[in-house]
Amino acid sequence: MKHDGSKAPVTLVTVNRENDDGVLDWPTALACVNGDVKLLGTLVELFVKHSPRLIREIRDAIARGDRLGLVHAAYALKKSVSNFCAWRAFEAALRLELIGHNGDLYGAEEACAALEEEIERLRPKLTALAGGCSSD
Amino acid sequence: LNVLKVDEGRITHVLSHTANDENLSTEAQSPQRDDTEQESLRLCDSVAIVGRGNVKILIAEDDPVCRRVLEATLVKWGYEVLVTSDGIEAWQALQGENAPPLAILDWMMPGLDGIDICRKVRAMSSPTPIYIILLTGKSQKEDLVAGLSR
Repeated sequence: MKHDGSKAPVTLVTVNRENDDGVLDWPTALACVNGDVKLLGTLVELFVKHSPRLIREIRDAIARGDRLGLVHAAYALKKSVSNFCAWRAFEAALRLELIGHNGDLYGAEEACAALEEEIERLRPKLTALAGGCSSD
Repeated sequence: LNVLKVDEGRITHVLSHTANDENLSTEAQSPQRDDTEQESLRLCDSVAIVGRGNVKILIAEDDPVCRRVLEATLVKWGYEVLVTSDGIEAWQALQGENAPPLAILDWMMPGLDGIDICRKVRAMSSPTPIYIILLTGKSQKEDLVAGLSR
């Protein structure tokens, strides 16, 4: 594939955290993919498909006392949800990642429960929004 | 080697490390407010320069959502993209005969970290340099130094 050497387009997006409930900010997420509804819908599908595995990996890592495993899985989930500007889930995943970094996994189970709650809140909203877009 | 500092999906730092056989120079920018655009353009400038002609870019990202975003963006920009989902796969691709000249690596991946791949690429004897962009949310100076010094 050839590239014409011209500058790649740049879209700068300002995240406005006052206009959403923290569960997700769909307009900003859409702006981050240059308004590509189809792509955002694909991202939702991937998230819905893969996030249960990451949650399982987090739970298993906590049960095994596997700090590195916890850090990896929490970090991956944190990245995933950031694409939807899902800040509450992002912060819940970040908390787990930091617990993994810090050592004795104290509070990990509670933090995991909080993350699962956020993901459960996020998933149906994402699915509804993505479904609404695809039927337009 | 370029190290990108990304906070909540926004580029906030770009560290450039330009290397040739005899001379190493390091340039660091910490953009002030509203300089994000300038930094983004600088990054895209460098990618566009590399992108003249047939350019393949390797991406290594274990998270399927982020991987798809990266792939879709690069394809939209006209690049040929080689997609890998962990560090080991990425390292294998970089050792091949037609290794991509540019790799975008997540810092933290299963198997081999992006930073481990940096170290291996530096140690590898290659007729042409491989440029690496590391994606990370790490924000400490020592993290950036670690990225540049591997």
